[in-house]
Amino acid sequence: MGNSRGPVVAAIALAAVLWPLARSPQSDGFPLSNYPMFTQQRPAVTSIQTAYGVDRDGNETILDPQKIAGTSEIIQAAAVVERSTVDGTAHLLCEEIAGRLRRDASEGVVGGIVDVVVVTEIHDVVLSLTAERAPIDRTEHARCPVLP
Amino acid sequence: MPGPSVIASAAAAVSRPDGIRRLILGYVVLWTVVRTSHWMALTDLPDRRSSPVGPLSWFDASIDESMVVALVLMTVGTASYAVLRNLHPAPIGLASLGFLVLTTHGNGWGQVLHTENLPAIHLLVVAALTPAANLSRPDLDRWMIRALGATTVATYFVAGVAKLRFGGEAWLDGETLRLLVAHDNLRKELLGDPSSPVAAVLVDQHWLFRPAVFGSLAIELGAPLALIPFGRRLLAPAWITVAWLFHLAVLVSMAVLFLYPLTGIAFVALMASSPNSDGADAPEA
Repeated sequence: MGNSRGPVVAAIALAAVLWPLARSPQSDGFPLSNYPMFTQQRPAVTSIQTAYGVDRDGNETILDPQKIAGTSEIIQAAAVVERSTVDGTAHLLCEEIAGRLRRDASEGVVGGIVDVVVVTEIHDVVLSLTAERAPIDRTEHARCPVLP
Repeated sequence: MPGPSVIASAAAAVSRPDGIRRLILGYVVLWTVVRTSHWMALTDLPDRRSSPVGPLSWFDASIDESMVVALVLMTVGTASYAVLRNLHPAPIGLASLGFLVLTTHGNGWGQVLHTENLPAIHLLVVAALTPAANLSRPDLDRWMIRALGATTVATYFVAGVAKLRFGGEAWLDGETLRLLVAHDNLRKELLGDPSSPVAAVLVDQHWLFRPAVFGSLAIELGAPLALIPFGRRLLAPAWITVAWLFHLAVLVSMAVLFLYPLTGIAFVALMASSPNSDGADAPEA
């Protein structure tokens, strides 16, 4: 390419980064993205999907993204739980989580958790963040034992 | 403590083309090492959870554990060799491909993370615009720096346009952002991830969010200003400062870490860019 290599590569790189402007927000990609983060409108009262560990007395323990979805990334874990409640695979996710807890329990990491629940909670997000973290409503999609 | 002259000479060194190449490659080495366990863990997930993006979706390919190990060794090995021994296009090219596949794999599980896009793009640019060993190609150096700066600016511009396109007019009133910050932090708490310790205080400050919206839009849509010559310099230093503060604000309010810009490496090419074609301000080759 000789002397044209520099401008050609620069033009291609710039065009590639700008190209996702033509895509819809639903079709995000990598490494070329339309960066839809922080653009989604969230109502004040909204649903959040998550999973809890439950002990014999019914007390619930918050699980981390690694336990919930096998990833350290919170937004990937949130997407996994949300998708499972939409496509009817919450019971499969529940079994996955129970499996991870079982494996960790054998290493003495997790104690006291007997069940896993996958839920959708409806929250007033500001109220739940600033005052009491109590859902307005809640739907249980799946419940499964940690020990088979 | 290093003196001002030491700091100044270090800054001058990293703003030269080879210094910029080494900085980006060094970042890739560290990021790859840190993220290896994450990429490995993803290979244990069931296939139904996979939603490949980018290059991996084109080839309908999935990555297993042994491939992750091989790609990590290739990426770290070639990038380290380039940094420490020889800035040759071959090892940089291998490092860029390895890093692209690894990060694409990491982003193909239901949600794109947006923290690895720019370093992956920058590394591809560096690979494409590094001259063969022992060849002096100031033209390639200049175009590499321009391309790195332009792609940095373009990512912010695209993100700004996305806010207007996808968020609509409602996004401008500040309430959407306030609820987004509340939602993001509450979701972190419910899914066992660290949230911002100041989020609860921040979301009660209604007045804060409308200026924050216009500030973030000004930074993102105004990013191309960083490429405009101002006297013998670009407007880059001023834009870089506010863009860095923007990422700091995101970290503080949402506990979202964009490490590449926060380290400054995302912006270093903009500081080295030359508005002049005669080489008066051109980076040293």
